[in-house]
Amino acid sequence: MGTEEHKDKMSRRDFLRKSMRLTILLGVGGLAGSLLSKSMAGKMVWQIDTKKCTQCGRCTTECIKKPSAVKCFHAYDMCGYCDLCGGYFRPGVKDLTTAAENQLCPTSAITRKFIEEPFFEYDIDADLCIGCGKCVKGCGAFGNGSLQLQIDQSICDNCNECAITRACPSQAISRVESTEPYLMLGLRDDITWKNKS
Amino acid sequence: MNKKLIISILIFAIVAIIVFMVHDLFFSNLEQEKPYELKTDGLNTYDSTLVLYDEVEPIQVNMDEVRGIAMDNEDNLCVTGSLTIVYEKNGKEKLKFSHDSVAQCVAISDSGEIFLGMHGRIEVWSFKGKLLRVWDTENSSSVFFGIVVDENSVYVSDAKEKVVLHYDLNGELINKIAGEDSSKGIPAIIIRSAYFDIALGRDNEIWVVNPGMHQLEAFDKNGQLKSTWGEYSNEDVKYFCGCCNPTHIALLPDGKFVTSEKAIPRVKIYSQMGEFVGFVAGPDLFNEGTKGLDLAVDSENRIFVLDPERKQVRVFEKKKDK
Repeated sequence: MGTEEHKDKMSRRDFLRKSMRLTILLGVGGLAGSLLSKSMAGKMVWQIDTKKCTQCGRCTTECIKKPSAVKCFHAYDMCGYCDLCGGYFRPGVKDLTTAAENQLCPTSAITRKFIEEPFFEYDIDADLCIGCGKCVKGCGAFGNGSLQLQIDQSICDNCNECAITRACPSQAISRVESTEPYLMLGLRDDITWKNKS
Repeated sequence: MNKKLIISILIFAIVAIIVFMVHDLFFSNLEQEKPYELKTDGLNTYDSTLVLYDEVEPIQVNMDEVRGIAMDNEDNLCVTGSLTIVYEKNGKEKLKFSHDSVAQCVAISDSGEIFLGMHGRIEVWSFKGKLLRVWDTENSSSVFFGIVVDENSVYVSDAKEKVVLHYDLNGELINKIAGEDSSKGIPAIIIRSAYFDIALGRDNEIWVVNPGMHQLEAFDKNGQLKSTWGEYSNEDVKYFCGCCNPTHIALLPDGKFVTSEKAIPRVKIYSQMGEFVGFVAGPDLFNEGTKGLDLAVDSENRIFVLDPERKQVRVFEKKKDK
């Protein structure tokens, strides 16, 4: 009777051995599971929801990239090709010429090209754009809203804690799947995005 | 003594620097945090003495999408969109019927037939909600935006083709009105977003909005250009703002124009000569971003404004002292 009880009891050595095995097994399993879930989930990137964005201008000042990784993108298929473009001209300008004092963009990043009377095409020079959103606000206020702010994924460092996300007053920036990295209005496969990276 | 003075000056200077730093850090103008923001608030301001109308009880429309309104000769108000509802003068629902697709615009003939402008076709319904006829138009991708009816004709504005189609009451195309014809001095219709309204004048002339040119153009039934008026300004309320306005028009019984705009959502009155008279409703009466303010007028000069954001027909009566 006493010998059977002794057999049922686990020795200290067995206990330690089994515990060690279990710990290693759990560790390896957890690591494998973590790697598997990461590879299944895909990369997440920061992006601006254009419906929430208020074009406050903080993307320019807060982003760690200089100039900002936020750029103005142009949805050409939504554009009215206006001669009186609210995204190009300062409100209240007298002369609709390309003179710098008439332009809304502080860095003259928008070029205006005559197509045919009275249609003009507007292109964004991404290298000059600082992502201030002035043109976006002007276009949305007076036109069709074809100019929109987006984080250019080819420039963004995808920081763990995005500085402009913290500063955004309308919580318009969130992480999205890298497979669908843009959240522009009217984004369709058949739309031409000339400066889409 | 000298030492004490120096120490006092130093302490004063340090305190001054600290005060300056605290002020700069916490109490400086918060607007400095948004040095690049474009201010557009001032564009919505206007002189309230220019408002000629008072708003009365609106009609709440129970429908998913509201697109257009029209008034018949007995002051029944018809609202269309994902379905069509007719309201009596007192706002009570009189008729309601559904259709296969969303209607963009509506008109009611003197005989009580309801004409609906759909995508690429026109449907004619009885005043009892029965589908009478369907006109398949020559271009199936036509985007009909405005429709008006007189005793012999139906006029429909096609934002896709940038032309007004003139039909007889049986759907036979008679001619096309508006659209560029340099030999007759008719300018091209410039459409930058799908707004292209029309209205019938007192002398049966057809008033066509050329939104990209910020003007209204009058044509006779043969397509001859008779008159134009309208100018652009984002600053002066007397003119039309933005890229493409007005979006909708209606005519009062005395021939004055009622216009609505997007970008700065507002409803205004212009004289028969196109001179600014005053406001029906300023931008403060609408939600930000409201557009598609279709208009109708009843026999008592009340102005009905479709508000797609609030899904209401807003009703305005002229102020007694104006």
